[in-house]
Amino acid sequence: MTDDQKNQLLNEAMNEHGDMIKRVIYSYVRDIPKAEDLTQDTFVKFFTTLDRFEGRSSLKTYLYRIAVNESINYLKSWHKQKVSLTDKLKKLGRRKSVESTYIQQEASSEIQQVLERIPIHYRETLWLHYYAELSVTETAEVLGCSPNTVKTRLARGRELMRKQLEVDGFEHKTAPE
Amino acid sequence: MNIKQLLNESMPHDLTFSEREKQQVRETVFAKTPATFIRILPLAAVLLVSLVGYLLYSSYSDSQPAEVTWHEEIIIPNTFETSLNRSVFVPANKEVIYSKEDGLYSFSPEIDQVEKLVSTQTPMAQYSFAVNENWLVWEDFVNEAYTLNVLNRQTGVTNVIVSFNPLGRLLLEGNQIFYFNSSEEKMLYETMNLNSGNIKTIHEQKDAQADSLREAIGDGKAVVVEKLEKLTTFYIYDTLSGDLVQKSQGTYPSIHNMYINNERVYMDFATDEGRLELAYLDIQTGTISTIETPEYSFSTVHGNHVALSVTEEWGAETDDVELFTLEGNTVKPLTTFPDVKDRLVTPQFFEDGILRMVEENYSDGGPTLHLVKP
Repeated sequence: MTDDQKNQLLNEAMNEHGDMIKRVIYSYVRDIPKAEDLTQDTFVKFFTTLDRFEGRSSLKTYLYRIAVNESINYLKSWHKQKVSLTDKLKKLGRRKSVESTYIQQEASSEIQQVLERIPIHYRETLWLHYYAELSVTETAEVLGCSPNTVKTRLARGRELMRKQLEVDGFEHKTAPE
Repeated sequence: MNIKQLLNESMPHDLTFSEREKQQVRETVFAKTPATFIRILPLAAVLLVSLVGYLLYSSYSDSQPAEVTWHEEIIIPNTFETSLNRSVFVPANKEVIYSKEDGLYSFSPEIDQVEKLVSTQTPMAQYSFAVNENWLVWEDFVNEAYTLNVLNRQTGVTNVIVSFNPLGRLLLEGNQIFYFNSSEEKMLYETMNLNSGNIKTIHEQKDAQADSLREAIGDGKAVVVEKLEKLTTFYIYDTLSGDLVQKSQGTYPSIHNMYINNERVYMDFATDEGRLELAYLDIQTGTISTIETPEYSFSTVHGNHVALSVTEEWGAETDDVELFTLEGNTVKPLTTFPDVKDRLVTPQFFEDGILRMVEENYSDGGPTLHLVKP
């Protein structure tokens, strides 16, 4: 692949998917400057690995997969875990799931708090399918699991979301579409 | 309200990928692309640079290079990098334990066989399991309650402890786990004997204003680090007796990544900018020393071997694992480190000094697990 072709693909990817990639990354890290950094990292990695892209998936799912990997790697980083543990100790009165300790709350909304109580693998499936509007097959490719697993996670994720909304006194109905 | 609208409510409304950010990406990739004049450097110049590099490297390397005595490459079918990054090698069983969204698995390279050890209800177990040849312990969330699940791998019996939700990591050594158990009343570090179920308080954090920085277990010792204002205190206990065996105080940068090995507590000191410095606390004397290393982003030490995710320079966007031997308070490259095609990440030493690393691969056959015995 020539540099011109790679540049063209990069520009198309940034123009077409940039906003949504940044939003999906934000759904993991909940920190706007970090989401900005990781979005740029995602597109740089996308560009630098284009030569190795073998077309087993679409460029779109390839891009989302890099974004998810960048986000997960950041959440696993020692720096992030240290920040989260400090946050957690400041909020001892509110016990949360292990996954939620990876989330650094910045602009906290009630809906956001509901989402944080949903385990990350259900949450990310909801974001990719319902928010980024990836198909079940595309979501499966991005997350590296089977389409049936995605369907199961979507069903359980919707159910967990509904329960959490009820617990918090919301009247919203979580209709899939 | 549908799900997309609900999700959208939790999202900042003006979060877009701006033209400024796009331009920064273009500038970054342009900087990474070799300029034309470099590509056509005369061959002689390239050879000269290579020769100088080789000579410099040779002068830095030991004339009797240290050996890697064992190296195994493993590709576990249908398993992704996130699972391998958290995998554990159990030397006694020569197996790799790893987690997926639906459970915990064992892979035995010798017989090339995957075994599902347990099914889990939520993906939470992926982030919170500990394992050795006798025990597999994981957290889960079942029927609206947090559970601690303890599988005795010798008997196959699983004990489920309901409403158990420790903060931080589950740490396992021998027949006991070590964890931070905090309620609104007390903040306790405890051990639980997995045979008897007996819980022992090892350390109580008495000052609510203190930050509990890290905890680690190893060599029959447990270490707890607290920071109050600028003063950092290390408490080191004998996990069997519960006795405090060492206490050390000082003013240190923030601490990342801590582990006990060879009568030392190793840690990464980190500046506010995130720059790391490898350090250790001598458990016998309580003194802290630093080790001179290349710039790195992650460390693991076993005996006199050090594996670092080395960055080319401070702030570089990528890193790769390199192996060193510890000589005094400096490190020396291990010259026979296996040459692999792609970037290596998440180095971790396990018992017997086995080093596990994951070779990244986004599109070609999946990630590869490397096990190395220096």
